[in-house]
Amino acid sequence: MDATSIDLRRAYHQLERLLNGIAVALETEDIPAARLDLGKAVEALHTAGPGEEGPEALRYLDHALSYAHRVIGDLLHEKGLPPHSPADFAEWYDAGEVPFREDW
Amino acid sequence: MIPLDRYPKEITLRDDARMILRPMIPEDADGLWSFLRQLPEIDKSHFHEDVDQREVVERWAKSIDYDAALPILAIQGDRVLGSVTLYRNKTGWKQRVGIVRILIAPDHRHLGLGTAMIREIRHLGEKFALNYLLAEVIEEQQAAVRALERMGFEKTGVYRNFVNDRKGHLHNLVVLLHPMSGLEKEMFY
Repeated sequence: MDATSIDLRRAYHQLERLLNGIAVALETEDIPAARLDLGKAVEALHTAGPGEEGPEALRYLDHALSYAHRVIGDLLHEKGLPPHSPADFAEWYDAGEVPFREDW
Repeated sequence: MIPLDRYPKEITLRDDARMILRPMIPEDADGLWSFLRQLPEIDKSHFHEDVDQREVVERWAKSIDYDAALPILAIQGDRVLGSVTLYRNKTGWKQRVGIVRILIAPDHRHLGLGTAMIREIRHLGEKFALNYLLAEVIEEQQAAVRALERMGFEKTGVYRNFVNDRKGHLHNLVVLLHPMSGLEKEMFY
């Protein structure tokens, strides 16, 4: 694993801010499935913990981000906007290729 | 009460194409017929009737019962591009389980329409207070399996050589379940 403890701590707080922002956006929306996913995202983030290290922490942060993406997708869908596509942000990834894409 | 006040609902795909989602009505028979004709053979395997017969589609359109089967169509102009149907039992032990069937026009795949249809059916499943959504997909339909999994469906089983297509060839069936938000509140064990 290449992520340092500082990377993990930074990711934790960035995700925390993201989830807080999503929670505010969801307050005025009637999307129960998204609320459920947001709850799972928060749970995964808390499991990762702010000071935890190692692959387990990274895995839970990844889960939190995945749930967050699903909620963002639900919000965009409700507004009639195009779906979020990770491929649009490919240039920001340091991985060889974007690990997921819209399949269907 | 069936939550239809959100329709017609406009959606936008990744290529910025816009379309509306709305429940099927009897006047959609022609559009549905054209839509079904362009689907690959494997996508028609699950139908109980021969959808290559126009009178079958016309009969469906005339006998819509949203309580039993709620078909939501994706429509652009007068063309049907996709459908998602939520089947429900009004009574009995599976009345809190909704069965999902999704079909997407071949020239509108990989643009997020399938995922949008899954989002829509998750929403309806929550509004109907279902405990589970259940999807059955032939294993070769991997894009559909991946999309369902990404949207929270969990693969619960793969049944080898379980279903046959319309030519009699056997296929593996993938069963996926999506637990809904109300389930946890009701669990008693």
